[in-house]
Amino acid sequence: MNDLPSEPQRSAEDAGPADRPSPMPAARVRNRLFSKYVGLFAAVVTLALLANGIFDVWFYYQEHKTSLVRIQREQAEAAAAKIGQFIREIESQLGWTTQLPWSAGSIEQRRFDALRLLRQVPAITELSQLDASGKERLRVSRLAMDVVGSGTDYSNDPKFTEAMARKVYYGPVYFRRESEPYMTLAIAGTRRDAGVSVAEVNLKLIWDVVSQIKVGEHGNAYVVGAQGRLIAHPDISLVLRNTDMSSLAQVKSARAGAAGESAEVVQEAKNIQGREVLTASAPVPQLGWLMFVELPAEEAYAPLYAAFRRLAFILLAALAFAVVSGIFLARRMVGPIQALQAGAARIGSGDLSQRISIKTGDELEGLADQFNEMAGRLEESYAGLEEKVEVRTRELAQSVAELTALGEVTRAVSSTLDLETLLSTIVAKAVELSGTDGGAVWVLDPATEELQLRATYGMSRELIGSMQGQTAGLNTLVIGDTVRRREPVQIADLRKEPPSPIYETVMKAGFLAVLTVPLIHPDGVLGALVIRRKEPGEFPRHTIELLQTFAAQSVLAIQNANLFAEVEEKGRQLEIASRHKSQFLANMSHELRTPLNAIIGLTDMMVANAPRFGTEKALEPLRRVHRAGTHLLGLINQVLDLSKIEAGKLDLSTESVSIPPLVDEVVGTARPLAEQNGNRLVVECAADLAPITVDPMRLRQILLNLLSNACKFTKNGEVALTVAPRRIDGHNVVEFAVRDTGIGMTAEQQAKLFEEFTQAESSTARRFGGTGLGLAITRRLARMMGGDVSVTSEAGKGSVFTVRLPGPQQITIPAAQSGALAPNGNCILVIDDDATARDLLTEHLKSEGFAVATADGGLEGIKLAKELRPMAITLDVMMPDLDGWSVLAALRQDAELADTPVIMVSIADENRRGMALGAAGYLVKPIDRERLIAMLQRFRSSRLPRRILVVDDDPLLRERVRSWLDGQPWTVSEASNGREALSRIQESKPDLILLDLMMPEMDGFQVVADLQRSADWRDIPVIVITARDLDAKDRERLNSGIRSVLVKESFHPSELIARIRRLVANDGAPAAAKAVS
Amino acid sequence: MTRLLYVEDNDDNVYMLKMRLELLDEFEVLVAVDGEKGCAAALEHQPDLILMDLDLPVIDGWEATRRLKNDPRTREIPVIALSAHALAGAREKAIEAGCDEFDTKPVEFDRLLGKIRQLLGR
Repeated sequence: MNDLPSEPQRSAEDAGPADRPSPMPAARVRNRLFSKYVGLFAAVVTLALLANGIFDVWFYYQEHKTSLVRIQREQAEAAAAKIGQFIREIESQLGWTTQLPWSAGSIEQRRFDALRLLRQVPAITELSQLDASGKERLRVSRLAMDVVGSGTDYSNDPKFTEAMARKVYYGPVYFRRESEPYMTLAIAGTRRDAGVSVAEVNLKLIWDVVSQIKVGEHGNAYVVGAQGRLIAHPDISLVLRNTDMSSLAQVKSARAGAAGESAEVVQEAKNIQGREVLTASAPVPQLGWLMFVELPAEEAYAPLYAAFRRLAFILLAALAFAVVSGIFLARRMVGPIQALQAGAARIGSGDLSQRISIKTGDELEGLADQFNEMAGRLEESYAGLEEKVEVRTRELAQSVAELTALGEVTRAVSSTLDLETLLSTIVAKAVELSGTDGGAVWVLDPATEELQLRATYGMSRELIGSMQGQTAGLNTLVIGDTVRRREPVQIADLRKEPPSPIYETVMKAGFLAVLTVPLIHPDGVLGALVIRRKEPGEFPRHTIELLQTFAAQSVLAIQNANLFAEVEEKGRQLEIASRHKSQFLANMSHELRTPLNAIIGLTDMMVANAPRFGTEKALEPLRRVHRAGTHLLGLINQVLDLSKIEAGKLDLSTESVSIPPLVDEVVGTARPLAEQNGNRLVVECAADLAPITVDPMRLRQILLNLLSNACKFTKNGEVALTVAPRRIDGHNVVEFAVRDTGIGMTAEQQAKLFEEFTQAESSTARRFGGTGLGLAITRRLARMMGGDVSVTSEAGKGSVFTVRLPGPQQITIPAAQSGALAPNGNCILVIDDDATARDLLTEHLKSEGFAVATADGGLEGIKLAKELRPMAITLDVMMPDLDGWSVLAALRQDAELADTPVIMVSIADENRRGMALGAAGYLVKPIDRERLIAMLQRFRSSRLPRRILVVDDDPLLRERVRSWLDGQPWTVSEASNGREALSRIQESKPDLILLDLMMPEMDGFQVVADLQRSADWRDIPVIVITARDLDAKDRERLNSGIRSVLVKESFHPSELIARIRRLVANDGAPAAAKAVS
Repeated sequence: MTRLLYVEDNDDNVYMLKMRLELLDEFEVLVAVDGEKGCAAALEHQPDLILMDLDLPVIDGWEATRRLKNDPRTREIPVIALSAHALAGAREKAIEAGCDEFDTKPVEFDRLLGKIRQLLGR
């Protein structure tokens, strides 16, 4: 039998998997079944015995009692009989004495007979004879003197009367000497005159009888008289007391029985002493006495009690025995079960090698065997399972490897455009993952319809060489097949294929199995991916699928490469086109000028030499022709200049120029023009003007333009050119003013003045000639030089055009060599094409203690920004010529400048309508995640989470940004337009705003304006987003957005300053840092 | 002598065309320098043909032509529009305004002459 297990058991209900951790204490469990059995066994045994015992005892008791009673009754009867006998004897003896008639005998005789009777019957103590009349004639006694012939009359005495009536009279028992019972017995003679003999009978005998009756140990007999009085009892005192026994139940019933009444025979009753007794009785005949035999119940039932005790003892013993044997038995039964349980538990907890050993030769053994079998099977299946898991794991690992490889390939595909590298990577990975030995990618050349080998892996040089050598036309073999059929084709064993040179080559290299997969593109097949294996055999479907995935990747790669090539090509073409355009411009200008040369030159000559050529008559036409020619030339030049400026190809070649001689020159050229209209030309130019650094040609152009305009629009008036140095806003400036007394301009005309192709009125062109380009060019040139042109005029009175150019000490030299300002990044760069705006800003900034550099255009601005590395840049985004947005984008693209804070400014006019959008950052769509996050790093806020509000009408963008940022220190809230944005801001003030400026409602700028107005929100950093490349429409949208705000907002330069300070402070000293790097 | 009215504001053009036409000894060329003066001159002098430059001050050539054509007194006078605009639709626009003919500048003299003669021939 198995040892009872010592490890934790589990309850029978709970035989579950091995992961149940709660064991129950051994003893409890053990006792459940065990104690059940033991208990049961003991109970059964005990019950059986008990039942048996009780049964036995009961019947024994009954029988015992019956027999006892019987015995007693026999005793009683015997005793009663004895007593009856005794009395009868005495009766008969006494009866003898009644035989003698009185007449016959003498008294002496009688006396003699009486004495003789006394001698014979010791019980008779006294004998007296009464004659027939009841008189006593003789008394003989042992105790006293005989009395003869006393003559006492007893005729009324019952002893006489009764005796005479019934022959026999039994008198009541009385006591002599207080201890001796006597009875009077009287017998009447049979003869008529016999008289009565009365004897006083000593009943001691009865007592002896009674005493001698042996009733058990402690039982006794007693006699009860006819009146129910105790006659004889072993306890004499009771008798002497004349105890009335009639109250005893047994006595009552016996008397009743004796009287003939039916009564239950009482067998158990209390005796006169009050003890429970078992009793029986028998009547003493004639006397009417009752003989009782009683046995104390204790004694009567003693055997019974003994029997009980025995029974109890047996029971206990049996119980003990039952328990013990029960334990024994239970053990035998439970043991195997527990062994089973333990074994099952062990198996359940995973130890499948366990076997239960039960050798009881019964069902338990059979069960154990079943368990073992099951364990065995489990073991097998687990082993199988483990194996399967291993296989699965391997498969998964394989898949993971494939996915990883795929991921790598995908990344490679999207990161490099080098097609060869890509295809090589793809082939390599494909071969690796498919567990094959070599592979290649063939790409179809659409022109020749031939497949070309583009990438290989695991192929030797010779193999590559010979493969390349053999034309892999579409008709060839496996690869061609794949391409034609557009599905994978495999050869499990090359040896079994019909021979061909290519197969030979391949087999020579050691490959026996080939799988090709087409590179499928919606438009057609691009080529094929091939893998080769040295082991012959089919390729599993999994491999084919894998290859197809790689094929798809290859297609992508090829597509990308092609696209890129296209793009490159286009770019090249564009460049060529641009070059052609420039070339064209150059050519055209040459071409255009050439005939003009002839026209102008020849007419000039003919006018000059009219007499020689005989062309006096033709002077007027010739002059007109000349003039027209020159005019045309001027126009052509203007067009070309403008084109150059537009293309950014206009360069200023600056040099140090002395002003007075140049002014003279220009005036000289202009004089004829003045004279033409009868105008007086006046010049005022200080001779001691310091030279300025300027492009002299362009300066001349500007002055000439202004002068010629003045002359053109003035008739018989005055045109005055005044050149003087000025100091404006702390700068040295040279001012050229051209005043005329001509037709002047209205305010509206002035507004349009500098725009291209407009003159004050379209008919002005007719009247005064010109394309209207002059002033536009003049202004641009002036600004390029770092100055500006302005006009004041009154219609009908005249106009004053003023050109201000930077004077000698100005450090903000706009030309390529600035030199004066060291790139220490401590200045603010103001980029604005509008001189007024520029001046305005510069003024304010300088008054706040900033050093200021200015640029009048975007290119200029970028150049200066690169050189000077300013700590902040203000940028007019509404520069019409060089688009401020593009400048902004360019500033951002430039790595060095990307982090310089740029404040987008737009100032409409001197009325100070404007706004400054101090963007803390600027992003282009599509937003680069890395860029955004890098930008966000700069914003330190003590409060976490930092709240960012994303304002963009594009829900996808908002979602993307949210997905990048949510959960990090940032919490994202969204708004889809300006209005929403403002309400979000009101709900909870964000720490940062990401604002799309290109929303359809052009709300972006309004948001900015609103932010600026609120002191609370003013300092929220804003990162603005625009598109990467702005086309004209975008720019227009942006600009109109600004304009819509401009109309409403008034610009506070102090705010600008504050903004700059904040931005600069936030960024620490990035410019300085950059300067260092 | 055929009387022509040339409505043109550019002096050089006037000089040239007037001279050239008058050199033929068959034309008398009157000149008006803007559209308004042109209408007035046409009304007053009743020329045989009007050469109307289209870009004119005060009233442009189209408007002047319209007026002339709406006025029964000048309706019958043929009008040749002269324009430096090389844009498509210029011809149509001129005809729409009521011009009988259209020619471009720079003027090709013979061609213009042909057109003049043709219109006068009617």
